[in-house]
Amino acid sequence: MNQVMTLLRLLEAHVQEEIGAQSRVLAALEAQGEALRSHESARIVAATAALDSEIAAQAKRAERRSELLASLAAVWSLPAGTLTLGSIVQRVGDEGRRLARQREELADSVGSVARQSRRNGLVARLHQRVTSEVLQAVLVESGTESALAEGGALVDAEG
Amino acid sequence: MSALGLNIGMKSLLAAQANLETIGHNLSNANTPGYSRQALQVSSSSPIRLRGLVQGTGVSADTITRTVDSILHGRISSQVSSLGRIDARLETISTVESLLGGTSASGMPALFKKMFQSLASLQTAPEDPMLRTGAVQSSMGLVAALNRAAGNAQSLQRNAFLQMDATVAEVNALAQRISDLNRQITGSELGTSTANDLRDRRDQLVKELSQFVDVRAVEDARGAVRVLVGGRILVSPTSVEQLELGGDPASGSVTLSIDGQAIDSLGGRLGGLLGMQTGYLDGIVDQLDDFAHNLALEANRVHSTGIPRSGSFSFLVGDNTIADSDGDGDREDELISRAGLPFDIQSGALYVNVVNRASGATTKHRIDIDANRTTVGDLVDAFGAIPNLSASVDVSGRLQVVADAGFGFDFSPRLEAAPDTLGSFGGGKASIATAREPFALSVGDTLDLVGANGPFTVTLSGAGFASISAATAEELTAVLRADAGFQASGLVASAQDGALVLQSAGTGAGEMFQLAGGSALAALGLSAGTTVSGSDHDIAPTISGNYNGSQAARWTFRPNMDGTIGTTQGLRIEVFDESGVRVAELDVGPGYTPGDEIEIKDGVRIAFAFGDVSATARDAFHLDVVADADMSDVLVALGMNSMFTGSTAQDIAVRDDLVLDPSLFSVSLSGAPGDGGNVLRLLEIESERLAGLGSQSLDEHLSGIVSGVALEIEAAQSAREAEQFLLDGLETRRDQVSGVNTDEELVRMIEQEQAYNAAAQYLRVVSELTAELMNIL
Repeated sequence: MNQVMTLLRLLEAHVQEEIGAQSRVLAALEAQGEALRSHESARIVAATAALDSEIAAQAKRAERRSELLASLAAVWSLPAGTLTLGSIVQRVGDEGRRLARQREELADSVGSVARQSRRNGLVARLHQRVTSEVLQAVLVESGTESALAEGGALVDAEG
Repeated sequence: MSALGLNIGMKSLLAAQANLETIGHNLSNANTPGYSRQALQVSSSSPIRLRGLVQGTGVSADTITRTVDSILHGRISSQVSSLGRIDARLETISTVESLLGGTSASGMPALFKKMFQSLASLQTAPEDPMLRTGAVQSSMGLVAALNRAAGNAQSLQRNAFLQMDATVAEVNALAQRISDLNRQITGSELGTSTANDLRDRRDQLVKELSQFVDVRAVEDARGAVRVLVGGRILVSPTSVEQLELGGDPASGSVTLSIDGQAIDSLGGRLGGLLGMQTGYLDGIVDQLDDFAHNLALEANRVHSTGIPRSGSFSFLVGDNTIADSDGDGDREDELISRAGLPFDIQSGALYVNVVNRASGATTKHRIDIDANRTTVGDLVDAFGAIPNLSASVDVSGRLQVVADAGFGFDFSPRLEAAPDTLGSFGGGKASIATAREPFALSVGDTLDLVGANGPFTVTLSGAGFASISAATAEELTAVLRADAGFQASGLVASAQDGALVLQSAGTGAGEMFQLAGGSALAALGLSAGTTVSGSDHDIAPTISGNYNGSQAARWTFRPNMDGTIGTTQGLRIEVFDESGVRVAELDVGPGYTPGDEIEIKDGVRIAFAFGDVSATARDAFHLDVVADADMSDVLVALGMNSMFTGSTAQDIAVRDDLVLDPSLFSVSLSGAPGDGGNVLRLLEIESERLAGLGSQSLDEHLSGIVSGVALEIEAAQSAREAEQFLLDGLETRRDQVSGVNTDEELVRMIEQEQAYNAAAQYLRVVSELTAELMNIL
């Protein structure tokens, strides 16, 4: 039981960290959304780069989270990957009240991030498609398509 | 996703599309003249209050603006105008240069040199008919080039007017199009939106207009431009005026006006053409006219006072017509200086030589012209007063002079070879002269003489004298010639230089008369009892050489004592001018060999034969030395024996009969074979500095016209290069500000595409991570 409590406390700490991280990701996504609406390439690139560190950190946290959940599953003789935060709360009873609150808070944050991410993704993909189509049309018109496709033409022009 | 979220995304997408379309529009018009780069202006949409929260609603595309520097645009227009003006100027000057032929062999300076080279050749062999023809032909070559240049310059003036007319039509068409665009722009611009492409087209039209005239374009609050030309409104926000060309190209009075108001300052091509039409070309024609006028004046001055190979003239008629200025049907009452002749006439003397063709004897006569008093009739009378000459004005109004049969005449400044026409200077006649007039005689005075027929007395009654107490030699001569006793005496009376000369009719030592007495002798400066004898030896002074002094003069020759030429110690012949100043003293004592020539002065030489001269008998003769045989220019004005007819670049020509018969070319000063003295005088005018050309020579003036045009071209080309350089700089700056850089626009698009792509990739990762997180909730 002690081992479960220890792992539960570690999980609560991890979830709290994840809630904070999702707030930062949301802020970065909102900044990116603003950048996308400005159509300024430099701003878009800078806002996207700001997401980079958050994504990297999120990947590490996912790894740590998998380990914690796998350890708890082992204690309860369950196969790894079967536990969720909801099933853990049910299993630990009153000891899981804090985790339950954290779970709701995290769900809200992740929901916000997911919505913002989808919105940004939709805008970015559509922009990219339209830009690509216009660029294609212009290059065909100006006869520089093949030069561009081969690469180097614009680099030379800039130089 | 909420409806608001989708709306924000859609607005963003639309804004992006507008931005990309703007970029595409820029790229499509990268090579459109006058196109200004456009840019999409975006801003945050107005926020809305939702569920108690103020939420943003995304982005909105506000307007598409042109990137324009209006000050730079104005400077470019002004520069285009300057360039247009210089181009028009350069075009015209280059044409003028080709008219003048520059320094080529067919150019006017070369033809001028060629004419004088031909004259120089002729001077070495004045009898050579080939060289005479060559001189006439080369003169024709020069005047033909002058005629062409003047004619073409006038054609150029007419062409400039036609070009101006066409340019004015272009200006008015452009003004109309600008006015149309004004209406379209003000009609289509609402709120903050601007009709960028229409504005670009209008700017481009203003720039095109600037090539033709200097314009100032001012935009009003509604976006319409007001176009001003020379301070007058050509295009107003609501209407357009017409630029109008008026005047007469032939008279050089060309005007440009808008709404009846004249425009002084135009600029542009039109300004350049106007400047050329009214100033430069007129100036060139004037300079060519000055050259032609002075060439004709100087050459005719020389030619009219020369003698052709055929000798002195029997008949001469002027080329120029005397006008009947007062319209009374009588040309002879006109002042000669105001008779509509092409050259000015000054007060001065005209010398006329009359030649006895049988004896070769020449007498020189002087006609004084007073520019303010002498009429054509006076001149006709003055010619008529010269023995063996007559003159009249023909039905065409030209003066004609005719010599009696056996006589000829000319206007050469040559010296009289035998000036002692009376034979009163050591001649063979018995001869004595009185003192100089006036003579203080009285009514009843007598003159007692003894002639070959015996003694006789002339009594002076007072008749024939204006005032007998101040009698003149001419009056006394006439009275004696009218006296019956004197007529029967065998004596001759003449007036010479204010003295009465009494001479025997025959020559030789046997000729003799005596001044016996009488009350008049003392007043005449003569002594009673004086016997006057003739001689077997006639000194017959003979003149040679050409006078090269600058002033006309009458030299009087007197011996200083009685004596024999080449024998008497101390015998000298003194030469005095009209004011009594001694100009030379000729030693004709023992050191002088009779017949030898002695230099008097200024190229004039004299020779005396053996014989006696007498100071007591007041032996004297005079010689007229003439620098310019026609100081009045009356021969040039009347066109008597001229080389050129006409007096302007357009009408100057070699005299027709000279062209037909080059032997009429007045090569000589004396008429003697081999004498090319007049050609030598013609050669001198090549480099002679002339008052009529501002102390320039003909050569310098002509070279000045040609080199002036060359310098104008050089200056205009330099100015054009400088103006073009400046315009290029302004255009480059405009391109930097307003132009479309295709590479930059493409790079911008590619960067955007990559940025969106990267964002989409990252968001895919974020979505994956988020999905994974949601799975464990």
